[in-house]
Amino acid sequence: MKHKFDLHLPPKVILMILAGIAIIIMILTSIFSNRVPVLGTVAEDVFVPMEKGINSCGVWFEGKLEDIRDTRKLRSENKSLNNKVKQLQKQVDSQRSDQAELSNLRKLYALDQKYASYSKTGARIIATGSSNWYNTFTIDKGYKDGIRVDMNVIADEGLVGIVYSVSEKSARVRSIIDDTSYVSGMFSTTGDNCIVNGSLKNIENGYITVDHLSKDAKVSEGDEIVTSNVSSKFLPGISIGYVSDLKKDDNSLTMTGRVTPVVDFRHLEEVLVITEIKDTGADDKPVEVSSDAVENDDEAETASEDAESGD
Amino acid sequence: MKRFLVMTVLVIVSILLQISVFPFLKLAGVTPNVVLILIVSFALMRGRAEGAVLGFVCGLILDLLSGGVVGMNALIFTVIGYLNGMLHHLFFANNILLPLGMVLASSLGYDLIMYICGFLLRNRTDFLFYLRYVIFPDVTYTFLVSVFLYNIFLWINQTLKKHEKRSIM
Repeated sequence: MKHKFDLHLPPKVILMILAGIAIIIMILTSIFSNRVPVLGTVAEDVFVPMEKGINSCGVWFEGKLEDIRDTRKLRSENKSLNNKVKQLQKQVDSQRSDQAELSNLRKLYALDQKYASYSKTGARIIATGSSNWYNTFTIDKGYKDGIRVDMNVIADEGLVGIVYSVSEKSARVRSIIDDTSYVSGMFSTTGDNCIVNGSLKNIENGYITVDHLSKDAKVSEGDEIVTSNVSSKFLPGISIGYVSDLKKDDNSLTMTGRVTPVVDFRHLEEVLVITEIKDTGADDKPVEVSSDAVENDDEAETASEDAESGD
Repeated sequence: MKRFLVMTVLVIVSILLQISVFPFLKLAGVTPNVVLILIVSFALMRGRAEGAVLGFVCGLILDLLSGGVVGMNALIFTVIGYLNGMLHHLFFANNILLPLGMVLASSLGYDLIMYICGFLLRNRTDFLFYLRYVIFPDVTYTFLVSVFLYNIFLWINQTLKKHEKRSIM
């Protein structure tokens, strides 16, 4: 009834060994960051299928809950509206749903048009990060599906984040609201550059912050911030959010403000991964050129030409 | 052997609960630290060595599943497992105050370390904010969940013990 282990080491020694291993792994992985998919695959082979299963159950369950909520709402609504003219109500309802459908379709159409030049692949969010301190999540597509580190992730009509680690069948995404996220952005109206950084503190109130904006920038509240041309990792022109509350910094050289993200991070289930990595020209990594990639590039080019001629 | 299998299942279930199930049941924007409850419970029931090993394994899997730098959670959970194991001699099956108190203390300690390493060192000095919006909800939710989970873990451990005694006789 002592220890379940065959090797009877004193607990203190076990502690030392394990802590030592943990520290060594930490140092190794921080030196060789992004190169540990081999380690990850064992863990994920076990967990990813289960995560997927639980996720689909959860989504189903959530849908059912919503259904129940919806029916309840509808019932009470029905009661209170019984006295009113039924036909008129019907008309309004159908018109409203038409309107919603129309705006949804318009949005989808706009998104597809907007980012048509990038090839994308859809992915489902299957797990969150390991603690409440970081806004990261796991998606159900990985190396096999063509996902690579530094690919941009979008949803709704804007930027969600960036892939920071990839394994065989899943990938981890750091969202732009994560406290350690910094995105180089620019104003779509004036082209002024700025840095958008996520903040655990401010996202509680629904915004993230923008700084390093020149004091001379002629921008106004409500202007759209998109990813910058000069960003080393983010493809240009993806919508990040809308600015408000701009204030001059103490150094009176730069301005700081709030950004309300385009994406609703609380209700994120599915995302699109842009399967292109920004080519900065200064990359010393060997570039893999597969026939697929070349084809995609061609497609992307023709698509972007189309978009340009459309404008 | 039976215990080893049961523990493996428990580790997997706890991790899945934490990263896949509870995100659907968020309260005040946080998910409870289920893995921590597992480690504290079994460290108290089984002692230092098992606490440290369990903490290491759970932490390492969590690290591997969340990518980036691996080892941070492994280190913290190993130490938490070991420290809780030191109170093994105070453990009695019908005393629920010790485990609940230790869950409270451990999750508070875990969050404080996460804050110091991940945030304070990057000059995020507004401790009171993080205390209110992350640490407090996290610790509270973890504590509430531990009231249920601890009893389940206790029952599992008790059942395992019975089986082990029977097989010896």
